[in-house]
Amino acid sequence: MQIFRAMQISASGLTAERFRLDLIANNIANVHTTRTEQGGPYRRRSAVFAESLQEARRGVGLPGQVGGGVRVAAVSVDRTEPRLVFEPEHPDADADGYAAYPNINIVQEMVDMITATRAYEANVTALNASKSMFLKALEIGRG
Amino acid sequence: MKMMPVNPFLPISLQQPAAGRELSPAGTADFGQALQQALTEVNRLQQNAALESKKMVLGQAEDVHQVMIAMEQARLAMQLTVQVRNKLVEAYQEISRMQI
Repeated sequence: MQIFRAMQISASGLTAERFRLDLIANNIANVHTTRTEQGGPYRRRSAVFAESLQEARRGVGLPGQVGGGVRVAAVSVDRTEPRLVFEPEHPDADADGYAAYPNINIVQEMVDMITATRAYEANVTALNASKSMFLKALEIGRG
Repeated sequence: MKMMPVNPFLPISLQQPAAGRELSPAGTADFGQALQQALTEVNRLQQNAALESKKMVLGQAEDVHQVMIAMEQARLAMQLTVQVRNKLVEAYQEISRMQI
């Protein structure tokens, strides 16, 4: 239904932020991972979002002005050099005794987590606003 | 200043409801059809909410918010239906109270 368009847009935002939180949780979980299937240490992943385009709503507004929310366009893999730590006893250490750890800054991950959580909350607030607008419209003519 | 003339009343034929349908211009559904469509949509939303909550209970749900949004949409659509029904009943009662 057309009246639920705003809710669908907010839902796409919620899904996107939850996906981002999944990636952040994965980054934090793999902060000390030295082995991956591709070889080498784990590499930090982050989501790339794109605006999801849909046909504009009929009636009000200009055509093509209202998008259809957000979608995950890609997952980008960090290509920075791994963090080398001198650990000669580590099984994944190189010939010089340095083990390659993922270049993940836990503080940055925490900040990203806070922004993902807050963005999720903002989408919930937008969704509740569209719901209360709908309920207000149902009050037309009452009382 | 040009006045809009009052259209002459057309006799309403109770025997031939099909004739009334022909009066509505092509491409626009009459009220019964529109109501039917809206009710089908409400029913679809209710079924979607039931399906989502079932998936949630079975542990197959992808997102909690999808379940909540589906249930909320079903609830809102139901409230809209109830309001439309209230308006219809109100209109009917208004007419039935008419003094003849």
